[in-house]
Amino acid sequence: MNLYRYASPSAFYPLAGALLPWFAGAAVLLAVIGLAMGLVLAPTDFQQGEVYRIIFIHVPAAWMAMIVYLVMAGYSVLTLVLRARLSAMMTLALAPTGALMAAIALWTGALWGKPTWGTYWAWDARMTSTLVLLFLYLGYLALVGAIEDTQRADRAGAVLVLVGVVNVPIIYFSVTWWNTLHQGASVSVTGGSSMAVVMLRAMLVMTIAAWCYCIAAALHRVRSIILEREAHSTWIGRVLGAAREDGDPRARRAAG
Amino acid sequence: MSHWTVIAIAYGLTFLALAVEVGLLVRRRRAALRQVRLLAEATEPGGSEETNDPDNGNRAGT
Repeated sequence: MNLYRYASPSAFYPLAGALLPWFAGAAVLLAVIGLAMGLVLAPTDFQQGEVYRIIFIHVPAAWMAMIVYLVMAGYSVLTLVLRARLSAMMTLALAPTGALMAAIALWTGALWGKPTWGTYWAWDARMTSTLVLLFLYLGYLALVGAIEDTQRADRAGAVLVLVGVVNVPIIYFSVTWWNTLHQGASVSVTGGSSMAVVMLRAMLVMTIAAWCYCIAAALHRVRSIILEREAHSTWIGRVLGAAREDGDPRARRAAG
Repeated sequence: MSHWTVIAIAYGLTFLALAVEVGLLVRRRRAALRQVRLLAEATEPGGSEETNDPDNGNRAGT
């Protein structure tokens, strides 16, 4: 199987349509399971009480805000080096969802901070660098939207994303490098977890749900971007026409 | 505010924001499909003036 053919919008469009319902379905299913585990099964925290349950959306959203940005940076490299059209479209498709994840991480963190720290906001390194990440997302969207020439907009956006990627390790290591109000990592790849098993499992399920949601949203958005940018291409009419004639609902979903 | 109120606000705002994003995704997709169909009708040989009218396309989509 030649995976390079999926770098073409015409090949990727039906693939994204076929994958979309699986990721969307998995996101809903896992979110229901994760919420039941986090809000019902997980015990009350002996120090923070019930309010710690915000972490089941705060932590996955914060992780996804960083991961989505890293994925955008990867696509930006492909945009600048290979001038691949689909890479630029994927970067653009990911940005609003990444911005939403950063915003969710910020407001859930603020709501958790008030009863726990006594303040909604502090200009500490973790919070400030996450706010900078949100501004990077918004800046990227504003920049790409402001330039009429699509290719120039894509290249300028890719450069901005790559300049801003330095902020991601700053967010991740801020709690180690500086003495922050924000607590250190409760879960790490090398150091294991300091959380109760039920809490950890609920958070991991919610994290996978957030992954699936972000992938589904990006696939959905990139299909619209492909249609908008390739509206003049002959393959669009062919794919949409074939879907109308085809009786198979899966083919219709993938194409239309 | 009780802890459960704070949790309800956090989760409520989050799901509202996700619902808004999904709504915007669906709206953008419908607009993109409408644009493609209008363009296809306009470029078809024998495409009528009526189908080339963008306002007509907008009405058809509502």
